[in-house]
Amino acid sequence: MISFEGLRLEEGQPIYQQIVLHVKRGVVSGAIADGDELPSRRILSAVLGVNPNTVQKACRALEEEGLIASHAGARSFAVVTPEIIAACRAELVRGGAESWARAARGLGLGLDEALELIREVWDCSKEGEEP
Amino acid sequence: MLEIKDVTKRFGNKTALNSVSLSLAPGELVGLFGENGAGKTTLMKCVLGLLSHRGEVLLDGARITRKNIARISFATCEHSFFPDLSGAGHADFYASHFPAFRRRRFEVLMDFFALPMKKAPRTFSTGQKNQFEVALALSQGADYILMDEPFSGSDVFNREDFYKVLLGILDSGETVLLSTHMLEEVDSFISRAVLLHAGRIAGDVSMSELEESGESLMDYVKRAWNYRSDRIRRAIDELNGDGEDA
Repeated sequence: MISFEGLRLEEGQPIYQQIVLHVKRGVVSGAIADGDELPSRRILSAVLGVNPNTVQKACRALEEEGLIASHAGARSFAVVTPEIIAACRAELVRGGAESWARAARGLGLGLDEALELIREVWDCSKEGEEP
Repeated sequence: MLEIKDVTKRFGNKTALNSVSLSLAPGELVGLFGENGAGKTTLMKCVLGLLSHRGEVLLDGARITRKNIARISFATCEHSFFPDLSGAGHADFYASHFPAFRRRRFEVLMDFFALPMKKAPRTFSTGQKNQFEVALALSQGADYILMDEPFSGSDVFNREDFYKVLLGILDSGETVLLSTHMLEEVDSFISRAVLLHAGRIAGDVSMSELEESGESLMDYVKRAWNYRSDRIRRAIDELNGDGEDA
């Protein structure tokens, strides 16, 4: 069963997107494997304290992106292939890079300085790796 | 469908509700927000026919009478249970008066709130009394559940857990109208927000609409109420200004 225990909802980003991102992170980290079952919409709604419409919207988005497949009886299962893992990783890294670049620019950093900074912190990032 | 049509209520020369119209569809979880005295409680009492009023309230096209009133339940912070009748006694009483009474749900909620079945509710704390009131309203078997500030006296963890349990037990056809001040606590729980301001509907928005627009519920409410963020600054300026009374 796909776990949503670790998902802390935050202000400022649509909740359905946070649910989708949680699944993508799980796919990349290996926490979610091919064929893992998604909790029922009702359980998911209760666990997260989120309106059923929002959960439904997240599930629709996950289905459209091919990350889950729904079988008869409305049960849904994760679809994890090497291509999907690669696509999720690329998207998550890009998203992180974009917000970092925006923040760096906002603080007046030039591209060269930014790249230099990346080089500097790249090796440090080995320790204290985030999941 | 619960339709409130052009409802106006006056207390003496004070207008508590000013031609309020509102429709609630099956399955909606609606937050009703408004300042103290905005008319939230009055609106709920008019729906239930507890207050005489102008305009009409229709439940699937029919006026509210003894025949269909059981389809609406009401949890009020003024409390509507019998103070000396135990939880078990209430279950029996409800079962004999409401054919759709959900005994299993009642037991689950009593257990969830850790409320004793055999004690008289007058011995409960204020928070427990509110929880008992809510448990009864949710178990009556009503299609439309009105809750008026049900959680005053409960701590934040209890409230958060309660919303989750509520999401887990509600059937897709059950409709909730919940009045509260705790905007940020319920904004992910509700599907729609209705704002009352000085007896009028000042805003009515679906949460998915709001989400798409990128506006938070708090900002929407402030905008609808014409909240002036500069008023704190002005007050400080006035106090610190040239006035001798500062």
